[in-house]
Amino acid sequence: MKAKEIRDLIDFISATGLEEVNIETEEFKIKVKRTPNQTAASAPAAAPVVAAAPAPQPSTPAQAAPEAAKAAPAADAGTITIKSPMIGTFYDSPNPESGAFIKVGDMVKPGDTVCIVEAMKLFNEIESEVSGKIVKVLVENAQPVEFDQPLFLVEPA
Amino acid sequence: MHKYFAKTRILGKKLHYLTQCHSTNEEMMSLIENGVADEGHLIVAGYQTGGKGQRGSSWESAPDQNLLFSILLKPNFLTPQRLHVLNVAVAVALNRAVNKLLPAHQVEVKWPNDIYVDGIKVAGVLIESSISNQVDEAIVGIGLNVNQADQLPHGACSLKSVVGKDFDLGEVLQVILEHLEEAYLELKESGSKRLLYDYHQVMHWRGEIHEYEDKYGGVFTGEIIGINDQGQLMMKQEDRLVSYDVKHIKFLN
Repeated sequence: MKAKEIRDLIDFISATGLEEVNIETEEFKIKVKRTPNQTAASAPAAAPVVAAAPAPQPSTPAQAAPEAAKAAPAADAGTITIKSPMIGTFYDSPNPESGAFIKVGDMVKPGDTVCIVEAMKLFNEIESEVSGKIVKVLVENAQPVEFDQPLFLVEPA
Repeated sequence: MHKYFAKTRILGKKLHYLTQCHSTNEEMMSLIENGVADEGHLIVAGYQTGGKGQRGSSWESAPDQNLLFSILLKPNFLTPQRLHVLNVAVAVALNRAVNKLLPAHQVEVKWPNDIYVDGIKVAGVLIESSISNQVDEAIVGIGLNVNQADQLPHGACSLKSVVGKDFDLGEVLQVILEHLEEAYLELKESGSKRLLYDYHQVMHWRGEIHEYEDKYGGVFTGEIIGINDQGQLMMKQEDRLVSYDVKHIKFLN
């Protein structure tokens, strides 16, 4: 891995708010750890501790990203997390003029569309697989999302 | 317009023709909601009042001069993460079809899925899918400028504006459906390898040095290498390899 790629990876991880990320592939092994109680404002690039083994193949931050997303913290106790099935851009409404598909307090059932994730001009309506009440929307409209990134917390009905 | 597309097995066996509608993709969605649309179902419109391009942008077309249609596919053999290869298959199919109609011209795919003839846009694709734990449906919406020669939107051409003759809309649609079906069945039965290879062969500006604008408005020079395994654009900038999502890069010149 090149120094620049390691920097990009650290930037990416600090933006996710994860405490610790371990990534290991055939080519390299990297561990990024954030010092607890640190606020986002305090120099994120300097904070994480990095240990990287040399890599024969270059690896882009985009490839490392899904690994990082899988390590996302567990959902609040008793709730179900609806996660993004793909990398892309999150949209909370069918089009810019209309209102959100769902908001906090709404009930959903399997098959209900909860959001759109757009990837490479493919617009994907994401359907709920669970029944329950939306207790939290974890991403903002038009925000980039990773594979498996938590999108909604649902209190099962 | 032909009512029956004899040369295809799946696509276009059921056809709805609408003189005018808001958007063929939306019409297809309501057919799906009513449970009356099978794989291959085709909706063709003479004129669209609310043709969809990318989110918020529109697709303009004069009445009965161009092809505006949507096809329903059920690519449940693809995981949501791999769905971008459907984009690749559709773009390659459309590229092959336009190439067959305009053999003397350079036909290319501008990433991710616009079709360019001699460097000018002739067609666009908009795919809308619904995903539960798998891909349930994908509506492939295609707009191709055929016989419109006047008042084409800025930066657009048509089959007619390129060669100066009229085309039979039904025949053009048939050529596209044949190529779409061939590519779709190849994807389903043999995977995406050859389609990805072909996609890279016809990629607009690939291997050339051009100017691009990033999402912050910064202009930079780069060379398109291809697409990565998530469908993102891979670009060589100086000695670095950078991947871009659709909203994050604009082709300049």
